Amino acid sequence: MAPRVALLAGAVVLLLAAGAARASNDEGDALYALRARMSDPNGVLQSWDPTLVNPCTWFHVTCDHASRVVRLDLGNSNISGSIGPELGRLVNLQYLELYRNNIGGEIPKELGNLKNLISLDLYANKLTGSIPKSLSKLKSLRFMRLNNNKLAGSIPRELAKLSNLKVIDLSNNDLCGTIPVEGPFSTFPLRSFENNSRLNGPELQGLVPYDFGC
Amino acid sequence: MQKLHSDKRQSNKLPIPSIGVALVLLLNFASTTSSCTEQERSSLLRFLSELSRDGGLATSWQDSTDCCQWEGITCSQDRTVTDVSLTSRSIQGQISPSLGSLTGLLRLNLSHNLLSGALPQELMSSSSIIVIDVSFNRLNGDLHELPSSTPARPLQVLNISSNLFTGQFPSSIWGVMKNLVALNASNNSFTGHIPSNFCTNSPSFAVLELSYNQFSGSIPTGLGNCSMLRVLMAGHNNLSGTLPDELFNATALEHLSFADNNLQGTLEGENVVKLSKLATLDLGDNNFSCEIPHSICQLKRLKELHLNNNKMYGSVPSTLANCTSLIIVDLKSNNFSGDLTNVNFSNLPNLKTLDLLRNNFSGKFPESIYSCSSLTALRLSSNKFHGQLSKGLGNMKSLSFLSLTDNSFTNIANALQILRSSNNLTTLLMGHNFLNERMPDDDSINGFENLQVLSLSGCWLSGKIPRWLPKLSSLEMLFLQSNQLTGPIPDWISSLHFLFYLDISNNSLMGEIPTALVQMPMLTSEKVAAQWDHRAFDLPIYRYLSFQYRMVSAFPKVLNLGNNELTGLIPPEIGQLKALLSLNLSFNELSGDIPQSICNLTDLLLLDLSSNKLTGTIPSSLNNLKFMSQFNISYNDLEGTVPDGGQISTFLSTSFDGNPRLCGPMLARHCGSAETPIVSTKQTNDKDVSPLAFMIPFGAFFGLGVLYDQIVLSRFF
Repeated sequence: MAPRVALLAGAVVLLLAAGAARASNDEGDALYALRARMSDPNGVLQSWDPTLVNPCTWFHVTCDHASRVVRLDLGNSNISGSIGPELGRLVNLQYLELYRNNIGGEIPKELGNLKNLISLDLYANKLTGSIPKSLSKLKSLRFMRLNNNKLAGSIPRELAKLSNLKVIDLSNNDLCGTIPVEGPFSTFPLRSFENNSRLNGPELQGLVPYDFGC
Repeated sequence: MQKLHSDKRQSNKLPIPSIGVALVLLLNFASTTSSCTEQERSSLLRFLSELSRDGGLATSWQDSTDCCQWEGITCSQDRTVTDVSLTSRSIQGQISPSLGSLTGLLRLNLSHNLLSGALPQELMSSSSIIVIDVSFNRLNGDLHELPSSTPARPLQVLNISSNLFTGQFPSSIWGVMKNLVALNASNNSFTGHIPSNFCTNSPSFAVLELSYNQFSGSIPTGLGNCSMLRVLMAGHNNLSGTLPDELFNATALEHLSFADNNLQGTLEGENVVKLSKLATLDLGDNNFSCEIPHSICQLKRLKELHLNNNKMYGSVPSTLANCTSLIIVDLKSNNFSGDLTNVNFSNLPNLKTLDLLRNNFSGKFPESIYSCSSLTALRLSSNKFHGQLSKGLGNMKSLSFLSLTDNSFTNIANALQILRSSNNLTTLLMGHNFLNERMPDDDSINGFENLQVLSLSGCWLSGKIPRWLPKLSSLEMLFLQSNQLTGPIPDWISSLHFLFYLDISNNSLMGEIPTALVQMPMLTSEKVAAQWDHRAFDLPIYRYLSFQYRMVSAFPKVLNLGNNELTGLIPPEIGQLKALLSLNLSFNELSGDIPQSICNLTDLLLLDLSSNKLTGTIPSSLNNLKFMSQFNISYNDLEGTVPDGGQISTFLSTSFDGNPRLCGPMLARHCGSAETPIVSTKQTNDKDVSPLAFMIPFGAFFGLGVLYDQIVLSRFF
């Protein structure tokens, strides 16, 4: 029976095939820049050695079979600092799990470059600023959970272009304006937006400017 | 002391009237000569004022005291400030240009601090400074050219390494330096071409360190004019083109590195031999395509030869034996061939490391290597070597790391008997050899007391997990996967006090998971990361082509029992293995529930329980496994709801497939009041869909799920 789960560990043999192409370690550099921005009292980033040829053996970094970073799992790690623009270079990233930490600063607009992103979990941090419009470029996005932060500004209407978006949670922030109603937004329950005291409810199209109250 | 000296001079110069007048004059002189100039004082205080954190300097740099007495300041005999040295003081803020106003300043050392902002132009254009060291700070911005009218500058040593400098590296500035000896700009983000004029006006230029930047273009031919250049390091950039012939006119070179660039072409023997003083040659990680020049070992001082990760070919010339100073030879990941019998390795008494990983070498184990009494690390992996090992291998007393993986060596019993007398062996990797032989179960296999890592994977060995393994008292990592081992998992597994990595997957092991396994001392340990083994491997270990491990602690704590014939329950005591990072029990015949206690394995990165006969529900506490990046419980007989809202919700349906009674938002079968799941014709085909095409049925299921929500759930308006 051949194992079906591809990727790392498990039943894969310690086989070394001939000549892998060497590429520059741009993804490792980007992640190491993230480490430099973070304060890490629990030492979860201790295995992040920048002298290695790629970050694929770093704990909490998952690569695919082509050694490209596809997951970053740092939820509940007691890290603080800011996210920074470098993560936008991980163009194969599918899962960005930074939830339940003390991360501050803004959501970098460069995250809009993550065209393969499936899950964006930044909930329960101290993020400020507004939700970047560039997140509307995340064509593969299914889960956007930004709840329990200090995000302000309006919900970009452009997010209605995210046709794959299945779950959104923007609750417990400081958002204003109205809730988009087009595209996937027509399916999201109201509780996805609750506890935003300046959010005015679903956009009444044509009657009120969408960022009313901002 | 200086005061006394000036007193002496003073008393010689003065006609000596009364002692009183002399005293007054003495005191007067003392007050005017004991402090540095007003201008110097104010320049230094200006520098202090631009620091946001001064590391305690303010207490020493008092306006009332002599600035020559200030911490970090040294003056010359005539009271001019010559040295400002403030290293490793956690100083933050900007470097004030006022330091350039210190007319007698010779040496400025601000390294290993947290200074930011630009490097002031005034320092580079100073008419006095000969040494600037601002390395290991957070300085940013460009390094600017000087105005063309600048006269010759005296700067000899410039160290701006390990900062955040960016932009095009300046070139004309170096023509203005007439005494430049050393330049270190490594570990920054400089772009542009490497200048060619370092030695144009500085014939004594000796050290150029530009590695770890983003330099592009070709290697400038002008460097060949540097007759005193000893060190040229430009590795880890984006340089392209070939090695220019002119470069080899720099015959004073001792250390030459262009590792990890995009260089191509050849290494010509007639060029290389000109560098008679060369000790280190590092051309690894490029695209060189040529043979090793036969004349290379006319370089009698060559200690390190790194040609790894190129497209080099041909055989290793027998002349390699003439490089009697060789300590490190790294030829890995090339297309070298031949059988190495022509190379007399016994002529290399200082050889410590020989890495031939991933080439096309063939023939038997090169026996002249046995005489290399200093050899610590030897890797022959992934070549076409064959035959048996011979006794001489056991005589290599210095040998610590031996990797023969992925060749065609035979007679494993013989190999183990020979190697057990190699007392210093800590890492032994012999997987993918000894095909289909029998695992020796011989009690006489003693020795190996210092062995920490053992791999015999992928040999398809028959027999059982051998009885001599518990004698390996230092064993930390054991790779026995992909063999044909039968029998139970032995109880003595918990007697290996340092074992933290156990992979016995892909065998025919049977019986239940023994209690001993859930008592393994290293895995039940609550030690913190700082107490783990931080030893570095003698050579970095590679898996899956490019995953690189330099340290023992880089490997996660792993228990992989997958792909066997294990039966019975997953013991609930499994939750005691708190240090475990990867647990794979997949493809067995395990039954019963998923123990709740698995949620105690809080650092778990991988949990694979797929393809068993597990029943019951998925414990919702598994959502607490926040670091879990691989999760698979597919193909069991689980039921109930997939826990929602935590880490588990980051996994796709492939993690849960093949559990017909399981329901959840990401599955075909939704939980909820409507009993009948919405089944599309695609659902039954799901098992046959290859992992790469899971997106299509998944999208269909989700579309249907959304439709279901729309119809059934209440809307908000």
